[in-house]
Amino acid sequence: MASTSTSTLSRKLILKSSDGEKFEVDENVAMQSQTIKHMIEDLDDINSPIPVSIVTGTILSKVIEYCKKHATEDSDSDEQLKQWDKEYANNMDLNTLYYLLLAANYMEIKGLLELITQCVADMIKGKSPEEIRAHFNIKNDFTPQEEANIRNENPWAFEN
Amino acid sequence: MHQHLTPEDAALAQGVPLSLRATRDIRFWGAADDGIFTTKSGYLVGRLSHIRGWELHFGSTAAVAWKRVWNIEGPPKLRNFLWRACTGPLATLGRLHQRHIRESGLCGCCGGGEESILHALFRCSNVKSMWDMSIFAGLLVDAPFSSFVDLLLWVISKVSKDELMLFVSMVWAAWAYRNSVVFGEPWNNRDIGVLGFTKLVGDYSKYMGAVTPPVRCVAAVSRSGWSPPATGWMRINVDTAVREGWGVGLGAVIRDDHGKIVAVMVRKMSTLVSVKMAEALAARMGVCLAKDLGVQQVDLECDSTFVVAAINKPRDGRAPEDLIFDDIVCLLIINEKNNLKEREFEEKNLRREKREEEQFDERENGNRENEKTLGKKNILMNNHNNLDLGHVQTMAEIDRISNLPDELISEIVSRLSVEEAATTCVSSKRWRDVFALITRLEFDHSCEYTLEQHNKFVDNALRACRSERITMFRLRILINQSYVPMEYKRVNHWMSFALSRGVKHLEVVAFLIDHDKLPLALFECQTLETLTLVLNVNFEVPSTYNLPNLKVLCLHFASFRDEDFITRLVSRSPLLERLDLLGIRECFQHINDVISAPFLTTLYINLLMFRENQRNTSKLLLDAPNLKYLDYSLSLESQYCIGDLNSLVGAKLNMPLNEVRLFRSMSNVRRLHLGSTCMKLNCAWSHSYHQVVLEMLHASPVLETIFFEPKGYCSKGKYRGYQKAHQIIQSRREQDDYDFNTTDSHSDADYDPTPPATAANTAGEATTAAANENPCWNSPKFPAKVGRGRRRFWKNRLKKEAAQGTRAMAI
Repeated sequence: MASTSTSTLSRKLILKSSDGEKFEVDENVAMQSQTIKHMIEDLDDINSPIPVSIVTGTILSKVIEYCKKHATEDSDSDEQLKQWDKEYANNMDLNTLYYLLLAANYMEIKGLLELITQCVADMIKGKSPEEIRAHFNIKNDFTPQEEANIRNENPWAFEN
Repeated sequence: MHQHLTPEDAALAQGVPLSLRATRDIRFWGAADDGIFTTKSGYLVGRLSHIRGWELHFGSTAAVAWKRVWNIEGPPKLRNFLWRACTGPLATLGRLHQRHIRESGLCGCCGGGEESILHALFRCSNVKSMWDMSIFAGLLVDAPFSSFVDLLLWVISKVSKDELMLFVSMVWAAWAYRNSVVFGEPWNNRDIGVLGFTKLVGDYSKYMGAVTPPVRCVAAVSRSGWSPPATGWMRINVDTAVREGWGVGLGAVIRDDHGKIVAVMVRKMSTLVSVKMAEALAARMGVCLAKDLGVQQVDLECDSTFVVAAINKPRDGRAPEDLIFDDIVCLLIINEKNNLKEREFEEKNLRREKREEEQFDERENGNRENEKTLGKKNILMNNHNNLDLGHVQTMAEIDRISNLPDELISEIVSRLSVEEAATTCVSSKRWRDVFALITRLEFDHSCEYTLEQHNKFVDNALRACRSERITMFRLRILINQSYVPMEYKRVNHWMSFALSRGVKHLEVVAFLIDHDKLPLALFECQTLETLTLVLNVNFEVPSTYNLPNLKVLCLHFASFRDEDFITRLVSRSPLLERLDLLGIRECFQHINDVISAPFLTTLYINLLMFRENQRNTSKLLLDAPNLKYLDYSLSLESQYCIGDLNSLVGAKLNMPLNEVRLFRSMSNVRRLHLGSTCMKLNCAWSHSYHQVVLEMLHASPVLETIFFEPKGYCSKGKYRGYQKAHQIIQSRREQDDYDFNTTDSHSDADYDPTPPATAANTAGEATTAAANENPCWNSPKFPAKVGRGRRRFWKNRLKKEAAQGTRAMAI
């Protein structure tokens, strides 16, 4: 058993993004994605590139950056890791966040998914409906009457 | 493709119009305009298939008949009658015989054969004379008498509208007359009756005509002729021709502001697509043509309101046409922000006419790559990246977050408080629907709003909630840390709601008025993992109590009645990790608590005995190998049966200690708090108190902190002596070189005039709390293990000190 575990440590996987870009990563980095974990179980030939079909190269590189950081969690304390996560998420623009969220969901990386959803939730926090709309470019498809109705239902939720 | 598909299918597949962008494959709902499933469209499909099924069953003539029958202008009763006559369930004797209701199917009036529908309405001697006298006599001779449907359709094709009305009212009258005869009360004069029916039907139509105004058709305003666009602009006109068996023709013309034709493009597609799709493709072709020419300012004119609406107001559809519309919008949006002026101007135009502006800017980053790809009109997989980059830049203003799948967006919203989530509701319809998917409902009533507002909000939120599974339901009604009275029913209702949605974590903190029983579902919820109730209720454990997945149970301020409720709580929740009970225990019987929980790590039981009977005794069986923290108080005389407590780290006991061996099982305890009840020296206890303490010290080699809670009113020197003695131990532990005098004065100052303020604190971590307030306690720096010799030395000291303390008090 010991020999297998050492060999898994040294194994490298190749991930292929939707636009054909290839990334070589350590197995334990890639294994943070449940989807890839399951794929590896099904794969016979470990050396063939693993397609990550809906994730583009730009996004996949960001995902791998996250996974690498979290694969070597022994080196950092929890606090440092959290700080790193925070900076990682804060450096993204909305579009990247959107694609990262989809990628994390598709690749089933729980930590990343939580981080991004929390980040988006933090963006919503403390904003008025108008500010939320402006921030996310949400189109108001309510008629004024409908909007007034919703606001009247819970007037105090919209006072801030 | 031709290998796997039949030629027809392959042709169809090849004919599917593709988007210019690299889009993902999605499923769409074919029955709805925008490809998004709605219940309404689903219902319509269901209904339509029902109609088709009906047609197959009764033939398409019947389907036509149905349409005709229901469009007849007469009382609904008449239409219903005609429909029944067409489809056959009219209760004629023949039909009743077929269904074994009547023994004979022969007509009872004329005896001329079986009474079928046609017989009853036309052939029977009762009514035949009526038809013979009517204007339809000649017509009926030639009529097909195969079935009523055929007859009716034939008549409809032969007669005028007024005659038809007369005909159907006579048929109806014939049936009514036939009924009157069959049921034994024939009309006095058949012909007057028939006339009455005819008049009724006629009057009804007249009346309805007068009351309901005819539907006015609003004709769409159509513009004939062509007017030039504003100076400096180009106009694209597109149109299509869809002809079955020939294919689809697309055409686009670009003209300048003088009406001069700049470019023309036609395209023929052999595969047949829908008219909408054809219009969309034509519009896209026109836009692409303008782009290839490098035209800067154009507007688009076409004759499909559908296309215009979709481009002017991009919708979130999933239909194939939407891909094309997105292409167009994508091309149009590129420079939208650069030319606000023109846009405003265009908007004026838009209101007047159906068209959409389009602008291009060659300077835009990523556009060139885009163009290359567009030029090829083939989406190669390798070009994804280029396309995507352009896509990201040009679509920066597109609302992405709303397009997230439900599961992700609800995940985001669930991370907000309910109020914040409610705020997002106003953003758009999508977000309003997202709110309904929220899985964590946490209501913390703060003092900013009145209780009524809060309650209304909770009601509204729960009404809107459509999640099948709720993870968390929390309700805290506290104002400035004090409780406000709440209606019991309301809270119960909310809890029931959460329980019905498979809640995992339930927390309710409130003060109830008129409280009654808790909802029964609470005691049978299979999903519950954490239950925290800070409620003034009678917590009666029903016999059905079964919470198999419960890990944390925290009940505060409740009153408990059943003798064995603790046993039941523990035994029915095998996974229990934390049990925290605080409240009143009404006990009339002997108490027998059996706590046998393999996963239990924390056990706090602080129950005030109420209606205590001195003769009652209690037994405690504690078997929890993983228990780390124990806080147990009981004022009754008890017998203990303690299992392995080697994991125990901190303990706070407040119960009569009559057996020293209790401590032997706590070999790893580091912090120990002994409550005032422990000090009660019982006559049954042969050991003196300090012997107990010594035993305890002996049994727990790693003990770091010990706290004796003095009795507030009873200042027996003895207890204080022990307390002081203990403080000396502590001081000794702090300072390796033991200075008797210093420590003495220190502790003297300490235990007078009041005992430590936190002594009466019942909170679970009292040990630590006490340690923080009293500097003497403050340092668990004492090495975990001490040599035996040194320990013995302390023990002697302890005895001496105890004696001194007693003396001091006596003086």
